[in-house]
Amino acid sequence: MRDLYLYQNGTRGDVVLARTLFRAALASPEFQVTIGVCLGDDELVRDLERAGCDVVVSDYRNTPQGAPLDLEALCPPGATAIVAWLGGRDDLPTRQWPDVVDAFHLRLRRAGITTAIADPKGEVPMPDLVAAATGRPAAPLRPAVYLDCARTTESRCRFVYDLPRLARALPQLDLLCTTGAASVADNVRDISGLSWPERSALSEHCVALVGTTPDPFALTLTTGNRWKPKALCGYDARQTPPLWNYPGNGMELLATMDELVDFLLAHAAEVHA
Amino acid sequence: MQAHLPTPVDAVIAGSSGRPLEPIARRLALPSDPLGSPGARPLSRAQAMNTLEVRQRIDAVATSDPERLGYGYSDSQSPWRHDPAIDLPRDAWLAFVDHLRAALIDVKAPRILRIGPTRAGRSNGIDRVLTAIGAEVIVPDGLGHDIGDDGMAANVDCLLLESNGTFDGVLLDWRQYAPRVRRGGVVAIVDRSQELGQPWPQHRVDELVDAIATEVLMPNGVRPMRFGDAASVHVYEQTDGTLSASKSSGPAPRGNGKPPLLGAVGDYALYEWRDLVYAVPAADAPFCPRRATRNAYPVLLVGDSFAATSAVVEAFVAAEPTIGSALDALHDGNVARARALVASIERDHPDLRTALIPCLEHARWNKRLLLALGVIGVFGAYGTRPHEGAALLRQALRLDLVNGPLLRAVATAYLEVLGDEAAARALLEEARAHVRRRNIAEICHRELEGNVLWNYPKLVAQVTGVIEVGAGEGRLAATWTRLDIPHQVFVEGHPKTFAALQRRAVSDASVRRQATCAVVAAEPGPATLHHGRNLARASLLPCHALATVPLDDKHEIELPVDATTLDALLAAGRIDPTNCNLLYIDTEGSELEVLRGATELLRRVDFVYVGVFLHPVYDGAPLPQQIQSYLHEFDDGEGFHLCAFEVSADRARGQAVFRRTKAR
Repeated sequence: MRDLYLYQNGTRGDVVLARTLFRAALASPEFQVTIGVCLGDDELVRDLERAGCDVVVSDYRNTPQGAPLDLEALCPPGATAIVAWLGGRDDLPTRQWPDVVDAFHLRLRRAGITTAIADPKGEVPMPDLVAAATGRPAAPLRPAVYLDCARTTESRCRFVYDLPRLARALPQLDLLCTTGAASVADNVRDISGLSWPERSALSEHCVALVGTTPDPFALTLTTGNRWKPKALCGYDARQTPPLWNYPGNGMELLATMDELVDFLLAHAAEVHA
Repeated sequence: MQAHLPTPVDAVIAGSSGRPLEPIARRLALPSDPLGSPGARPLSRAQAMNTLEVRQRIDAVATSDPERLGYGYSDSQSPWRHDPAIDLPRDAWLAFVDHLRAALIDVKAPRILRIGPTRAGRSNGIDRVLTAIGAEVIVPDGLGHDIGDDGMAANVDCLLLESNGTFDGVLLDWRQYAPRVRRGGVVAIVDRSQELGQPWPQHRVDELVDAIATEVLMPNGVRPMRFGDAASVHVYEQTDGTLSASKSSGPAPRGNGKPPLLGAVGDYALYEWRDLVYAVPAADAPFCPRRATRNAYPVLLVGDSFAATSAVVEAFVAAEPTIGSALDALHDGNVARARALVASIERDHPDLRTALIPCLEHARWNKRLLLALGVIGVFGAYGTRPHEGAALLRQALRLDLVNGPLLRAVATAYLEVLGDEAAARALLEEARAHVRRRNIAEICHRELEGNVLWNYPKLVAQVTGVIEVGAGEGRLAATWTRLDIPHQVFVEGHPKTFAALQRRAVSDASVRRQATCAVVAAEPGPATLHHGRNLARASLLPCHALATVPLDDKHEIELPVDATTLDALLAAGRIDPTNCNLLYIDTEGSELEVLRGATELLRRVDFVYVGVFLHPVYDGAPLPQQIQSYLHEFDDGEGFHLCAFEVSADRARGQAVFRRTKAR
């Protein structure tokens, strides 16, 4: 068994996506896996720790721009350090599973390891952050839409949410909002106090998922949400591919509030009906 | 035992040219460019310039004067240093200028009122661009809403509103200055609120723009346009309705929202912002969250109360000179002294590290914080993992990889404190690679003007060898060598041109050069090489009937040749692609045919450069999309994807670079 140290220097959302790689390596009988994370990001890999991998936590918290130091520094002596790069050969990751696997296999080969941990053409696994939740929030009393208005730096994304308008257009649904806007309307609920794993668990009770940037929307990518309608707001669909794409992915890229309202009326209202 | 590295720090530092990066625009500036003549307005020239020429001029402004204007656009800055000449993304700015020129095409000297920040007495790149395209730019002193109505000229043709980037600031300036724009004029509002991630409520210019669109523009039948995304320019045409509505309608202000000053500790000013207290050097006050995100402060200290932040300030101020001495000791190789100094810091300031860690979380790229935490960490002080401390030092070094003393200090830390020779070597390799990339960028900008590669030095840095098909007289041979590309293979079909190429393509100790005379196509067989007096334009394809070509380029001679393929040359050993990963094809229209005859060779390269034709020049030349499709579908869809594309000054031509999708 070879000691493998895996780490992801990006934002928390990237650490969530990297869980798929961590799990795949953990499932291989060839590796004893250690994962390095920033302070506070250990909650994102708690289930993997329970599944048998070691987790090393930095003294430094993650930032909106990513880890403040190269987490390779936490590599245990004797282990082979491999960065969980999220795909592609340019400076910006593609965040697509086949590219993630290819990039990982390339790095393994460079380290003299020929083991394949996954088939890039196989089924795309979901990050399933829900598995790391230690407590499950109660299911919403009414059908709900998960609405993540928070965003991180993403130059191609621009969107302004009109929460009152959404609330008026969807009176039969609750809007679970992650940026604390409960006072906007009666059917807007504030879930900003929940941790990321808890939000992931809550999202599985929702009929539709809406977000802005991959970080933090990646936390909604669970097996339970695989076939649900999803939308990322603020993108030109002609220029940006859907995040973490797979056959049958219900994710749409929406550019305007009109499109978001139409999307929710078409998908969430139907499900509720 | 002291380990010795094969690449001494001095050798790495010596590899740098030592010169500041040569401003690109010395090469790009037009001969009679009036950039240095304030007030000059090349009106007729500006109006006569086509879009491409205007864009090239704008690029020239953006890169002409780093000292006074800053450099480049907002989307080309490093995370740790934001100093663009034009603080907008390039695509957004160019599209906006195109729109402005079209909207004001009937105006001889459009008057543009710009309300926004100046550069502390220096020129502003945006003003320079607008002047260069023939406008008169009116910029009040200070920010618009800080001055009264001073009788500034009314009826300007365009308002470019940046203001201070806050909801209230932009609203106030919009109310005051939008009515000054004449009917039919352009009102443009710059919105950077989403550029840095989640906007603070006081900075929601995006919500202001949406509110103006909803409450003022739409009811008056005006639809705004947007150029850009997270950072954008929102534009609308002034009508009678918007003119009167902007004086009275629109959203209500939200309140100032500036972080309040709580007091001072030594030379630091303390401000409250979102339940935390921030301390910045008084000389750089006031504290602005956007500036903090841009790493604009020399140091940023944070605590959860005035007392806590004051304590951090006092400890940091007291400890920093000793930290500097420890770093100097590392530089001098005096590890024992450095260790003793760090021990004294830990003894005298037991809470320093705990206090500084949150500061780094708010100022991830702050060099002084990285150095402080790195130096105390690398010696294991405060129970730190030494490698974590070293990683912080390395992060500080990445902000300035040509800082020789710091490089030496960090290398010494890895080698003699941690005993990690591999990491020390990797560090020096990283520094050497950075110096190399810097040199390559300089050479690309100096010698590849007009070539798409001039703007892609990172790509060029990955090229280890080039196979140049249609090499002509080998004018690029010396440039390839200067770009540190030691393996060069040239293929040229015309015998006269090949003779000149052979004189250039001589190998020496540092460069392997190989030249072969061959006309390459998709299949071997008889072919005709068409050319005129200018042999550089020789092609297997005749000129298109609609092409407008210079006299020397007109195809007057038809030379019968025996064409072959690149794969045939490879099989016959006439080209040796060992260590060559760039296939560079410039064969005047027959690029796709050359590629079709190079299926085996394509499997051995990572990059493909081709000349493309956007207008009819040669009869039968493929469209760029046809080349793109062929390369994309090569090898069962795992071929090459487009990674660079530029249109030449001659708009009929362009250049494209493709990169292998998956690593070999």
